[in-house]
Amino acid sequence: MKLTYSIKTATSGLRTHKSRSALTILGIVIGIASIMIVMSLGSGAQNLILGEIQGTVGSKVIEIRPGRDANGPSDFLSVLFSDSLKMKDVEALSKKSNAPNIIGVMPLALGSESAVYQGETFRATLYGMNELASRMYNMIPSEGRFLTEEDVKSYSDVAVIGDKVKKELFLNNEEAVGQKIKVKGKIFKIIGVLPEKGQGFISFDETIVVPYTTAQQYILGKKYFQHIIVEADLEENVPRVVEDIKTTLRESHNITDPEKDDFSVSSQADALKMVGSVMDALTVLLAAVAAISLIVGGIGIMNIMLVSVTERTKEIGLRKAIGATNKEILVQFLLEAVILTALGGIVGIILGSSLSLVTSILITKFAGLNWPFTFPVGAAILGLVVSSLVGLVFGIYPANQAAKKSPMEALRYE
Amino acid sequence: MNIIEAKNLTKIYDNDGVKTKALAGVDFTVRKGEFVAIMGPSGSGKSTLLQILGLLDDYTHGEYKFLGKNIKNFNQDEIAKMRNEDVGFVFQAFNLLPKSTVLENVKLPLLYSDHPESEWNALATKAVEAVGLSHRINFEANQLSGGEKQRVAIARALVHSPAIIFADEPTGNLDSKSGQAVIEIIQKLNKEMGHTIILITHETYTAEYAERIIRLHDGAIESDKVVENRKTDHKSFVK
Repeated sequence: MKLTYSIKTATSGLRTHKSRSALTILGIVIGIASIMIVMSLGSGAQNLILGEIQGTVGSKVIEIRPGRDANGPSDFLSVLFSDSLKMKDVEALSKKSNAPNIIGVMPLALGSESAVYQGETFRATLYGMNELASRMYNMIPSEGRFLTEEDVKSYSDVAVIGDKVKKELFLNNEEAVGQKIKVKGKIFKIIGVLPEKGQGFISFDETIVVPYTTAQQYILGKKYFQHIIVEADLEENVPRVVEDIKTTLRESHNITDPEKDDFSVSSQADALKMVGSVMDALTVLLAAVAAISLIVGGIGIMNIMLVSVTERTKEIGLRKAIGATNKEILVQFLLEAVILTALGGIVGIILGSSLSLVTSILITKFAGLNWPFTFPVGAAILGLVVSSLVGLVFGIYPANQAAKKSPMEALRYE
Repeated sequence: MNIIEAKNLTKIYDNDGVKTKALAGVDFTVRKGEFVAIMGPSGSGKSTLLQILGLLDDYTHGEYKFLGKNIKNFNQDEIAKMRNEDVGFVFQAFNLLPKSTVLENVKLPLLYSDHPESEWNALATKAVEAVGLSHRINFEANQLSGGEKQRVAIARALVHSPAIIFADEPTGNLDSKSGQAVIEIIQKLNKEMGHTIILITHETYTAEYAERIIRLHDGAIESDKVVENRKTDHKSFVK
């Protein structure tokens, strides 16, 4: 019997029991749909986070933190209280002889401080930065200007504020640039307002940016920095710059054994890689959980196929009486199972991707995130293959039962 | 030419060690073009005999030559192919696919055959015409009356012109009028189209449409006679 006719025979067998066939594949539909949703939302979330990192932090930006890479609770504590990054490091890194490919060095002093304007108070994140932040972190004020080199050198009391800070302090939406706010008792003149970025993983909406010199001197009262940010001239030079930074800082800190580094260096590529691997692991885990429903669905298929074989004993007998071989009966019932599960796979793929599409639209609309919808082609192909395999694996036993029936016994069956 | 040559055919059923002799050495021959009726009370072994002759079941002892070929020398797939090409069946319970149309049901044996697909529809249509059901050709089997169903089954049996047609109590599930129509069609297949037919029945008035009646009793042939007053006139068919 030709395959096309085997397929026709199998589908007509399924069409005879439409609602039963539909119910049978429900397990497979749910399994494949959940895998699709997990894969699609997983890659959507990954794209979102990666997009935020790439959109905010330039690919040439390298971050230096005090303390070693945290490998345990004690390391973690040492990072919190570490004061290894100082002004002399910034100066050493700025020297062309130490690191020829560095085009900008910015110390970063961080704090959380309350800002006051005419009785309104807002607790903001205080960033002590220099003029390079504008380029490194894409901080372009929508009103006024950003910090200048002069502001930093002269310990100027000027501030650039985030959109949320402005909205919280200036209730009547009045002009903020030129106004004065008080932070920890010191008066700052607002020189710029950053545009709204919306909710995200990296946002400067709740930020007050001041020269790092001023921040250290008058507000934080610390002589060290939480970060030093370095910019390389070209993206492909980033690995070399990372090495230059390590050499320079080891020399500056008198460290000979790299195991004893009191700082850690990470580039944007490292951050992207880490986010990527965490997301991948999470996606695989969730997909594995979803795959369990495929096994359950497969057992359901086997069950129904066994019922169907018993119910159609007479049909099997007739087919054998008029010349069907055991193999042809086996193929017919196996094809029924595979077509059922493959159909379930296709419905699952359509259902799963439409649900993820709706989810991504809703997230984009209501959470204000730019959540891109991606159709996971790989997952779709995998889903189709896996669902067909489920049909093959769980269909072989019932199909074999059908093929084994003797035509006489089968015809006599009532 | 002999279609069927059975020598000392014996069938013993073994159910958990309990042996039942269903056929106790049957000898007979069926020539091409014959119309033979096999009769006997229930338990006489007539169904067992038909199953063995129709290549649906195995026998315990003896020798069976079908179209001159000793059946013992063939494997299951080869026997399935013989059933497909050379044997047609008509069952008491019709055994049609209820949701398929008349045409599809009649085509069914061709699906498993080597006939080129382009000829299927023509062959099936011809067979449906032969049983007088052209006006029902696109009806689903479950929309037909019992008599019509059995005529579809007959069309299915003769669609690929088999060497022999086995009819197992074909009128058993029908009222007298439909039964008469069916048995007359079967006779017509033999007389006008030359088909070899073996009919199993327990009704004498049905058996008398055949030209020869073999009576079985306790698994053995009791008598093998030519029908003297062969029925051809449908008025004589009374149930």
